[in-house]
Amino acid sequence: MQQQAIIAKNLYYTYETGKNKVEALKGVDLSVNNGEIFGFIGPNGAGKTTTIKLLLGILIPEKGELALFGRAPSNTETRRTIGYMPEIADYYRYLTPVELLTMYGNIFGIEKKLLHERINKLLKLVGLGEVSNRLMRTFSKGMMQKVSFAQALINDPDLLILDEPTSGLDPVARKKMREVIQDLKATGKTIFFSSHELSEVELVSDRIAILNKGRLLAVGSAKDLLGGKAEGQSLESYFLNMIGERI
Amino acid sequence: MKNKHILVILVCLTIASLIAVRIDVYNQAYAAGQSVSDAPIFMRFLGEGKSIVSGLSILQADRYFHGGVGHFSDEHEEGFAIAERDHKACEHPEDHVLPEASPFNILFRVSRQMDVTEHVHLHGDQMKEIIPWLYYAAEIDSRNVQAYVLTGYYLCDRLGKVDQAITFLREGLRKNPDSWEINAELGRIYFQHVKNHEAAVQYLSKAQILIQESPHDKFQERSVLSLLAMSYENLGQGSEALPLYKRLNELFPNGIYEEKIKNFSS
Amino acid sequence: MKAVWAIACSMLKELIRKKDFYVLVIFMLVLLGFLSYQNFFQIEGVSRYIRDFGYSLLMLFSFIIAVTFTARQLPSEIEARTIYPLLAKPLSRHTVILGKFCGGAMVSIIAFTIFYVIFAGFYMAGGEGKSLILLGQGFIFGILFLCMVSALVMFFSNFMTTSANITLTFLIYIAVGGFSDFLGRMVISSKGIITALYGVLYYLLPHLEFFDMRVRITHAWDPLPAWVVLSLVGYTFIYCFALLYFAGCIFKRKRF
Repeated sequence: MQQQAIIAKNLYYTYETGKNKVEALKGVDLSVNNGEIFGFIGPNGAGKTTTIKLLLGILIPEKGELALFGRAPSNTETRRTIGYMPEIADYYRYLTPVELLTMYGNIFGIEKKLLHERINKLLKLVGLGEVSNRLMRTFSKGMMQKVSFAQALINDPDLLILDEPTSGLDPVARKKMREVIQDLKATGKTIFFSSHELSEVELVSDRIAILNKGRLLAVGSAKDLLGGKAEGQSLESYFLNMIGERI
Repeated sequence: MKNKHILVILVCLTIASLIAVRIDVYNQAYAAGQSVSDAPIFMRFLGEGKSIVSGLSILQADRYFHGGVGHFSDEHEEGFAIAERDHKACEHPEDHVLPEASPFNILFRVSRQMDVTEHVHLHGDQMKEIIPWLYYAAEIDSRNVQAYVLTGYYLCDRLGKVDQAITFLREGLRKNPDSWEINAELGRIYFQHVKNHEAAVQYLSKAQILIQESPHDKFQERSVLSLLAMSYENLGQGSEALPLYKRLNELFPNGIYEEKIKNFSS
Repeated sequence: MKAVWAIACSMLKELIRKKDFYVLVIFMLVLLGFLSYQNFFQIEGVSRYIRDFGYSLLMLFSFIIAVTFTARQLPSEIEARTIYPLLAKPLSRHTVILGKFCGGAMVSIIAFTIFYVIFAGFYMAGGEGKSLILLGQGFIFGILFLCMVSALVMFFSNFMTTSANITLTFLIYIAVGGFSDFLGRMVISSKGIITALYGVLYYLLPHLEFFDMRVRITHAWDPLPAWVVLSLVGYTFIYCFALLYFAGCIFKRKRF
């Protein structure tokens, strides 16, 4: 297996809306090791979601190189090894969580019996075992997030890309989510996740990248990032300083 | 607790029904006093558009008469029943004259197959198939006199439903008391099918008066006058028939009329 | 293929769980029942107008289901942001389009089949000129028609909102029914550049009118020859393939 789950070199991406051009990414270099939890932080509009879309092959980089496990993200085989949880998704309201996961499982071509077992396991894991056959139109935002997390794990992915995974979750569910992420890491999965919750990123990430206005400002473990600063400084103040320095 | 809810619902429904009945009684009384249309609510919604829908319904009857194919020639604008009265398969040379296309053009070839090219008319008992459209044409627009006349004709002459034809035409007459066409059709049915010449005279003489107040051609006037004259003749009232034959002779100078005039004058 | 089926099946569940379909079924049953119950001057065996209404209703209802279901698919995926997890799965964008098309077509064909069974019941119950071959051809043509409509809607949904898509498809349906014959005549009878213009229009427009068996079934015409049925199957397949391929290409270039 490749040493690095994600390698991004000099990524550029520009959005064009009519005559307006917005440079979302300006030469981002990134590398995520196999089996690590990689936190990706940045203010709104920093380019986090654009980076994730590039990783998923939904967008094609304008310039630069990108590989997941040594293959292009748009490759179908690459996607078989990825699980993705979007920031917000209002899943099909006329389906139950079981039906949704069955649909995604069938897209992956997972064998019926295995899929059935996996769905039960995942729904229990995210705490939706009791409502697995209830239509999702009755679900709260938090419940939708749990469904979203479960669908990201349906293919037992090697790389899990999570976009704001804890948004809309209550403190108990957040804690549970952190535990699950740690457990997944323990089984050798690579987790790449973006968040606004800096304390959470600090708690679970092996390494952290800070992105602002399409440029990568810093990459390293929380300890490394805070090491050169005054004692007692939090990631939050470090992050604000980093952004402030360059505004 | 549950029973209480059911009780409340039942009471509400009962009160609502009582109010609805009261309103309905009031509406009916009001409509009777104000000459408000008694047509179903859907028909009233159509407003003036109902004459168009009614006309389309007659065209649909025409299509049915031709086995599902539309023929909108002048002949049919005047009423397809009139053409059919001669009971001859009329020709429509203007129909389906399709231009030539390459035999390799599959779309055109399929298109030809989808279109019907043969000319057909309904016959015998099949005529009943056009009745719903004629009936609806009259129901939708009660002022559509043509719908009543055509329905009367087909019911009586093609399907042998004389009593139903008379009832329907009378209903049409109630809604269109000034229609010479309905009076004439009723008179014709009484004359030809019921052989009730008194009734025929009653309707035809009314038609004779009304036709003078309406735009008409001399052929239409001839059909009313000749039936009326023959009805008087059958009742032995030659003196009444005489002026009618004179008028007919003015319209269409003819030896037969002249002979009748001579006979009744003497 | 499994992915296409998985996407299509999820749409079927939507049909089952939405009330719209049941309302249409009940409406059709009630209307046809009412028409059959109608007594016109004690004349028995009047059947053509019931067939006419029945066939028109079933085609209209199936058309509505095909258009509304298919038109909603892509825009609602984008609006609900479920397009992202879907595109992150191991399937090509052409597969997404094909899956959505198959779903729309399947949903409308299932609804059409139910409507058709009701219609067939009334058709067989009375009237002259009953033909199982005609009935069968009507069923096949209905399926082909719904495939054409679903493909057309799928194509438009790449660059249109749901409501604009529905409106345009309805307009095309009406325009094709009204002007296709005229266009065909003009292609043959006109000359020069005008012929080319009419020709382009004639060949590009989806000939939805070919699938209309209403008059044929109502008035008990002869069934169509086998080569016509086969030609229309081929026409539908080619037209749908072209539309979906084109739709897939546009969808592939789309940035979300």
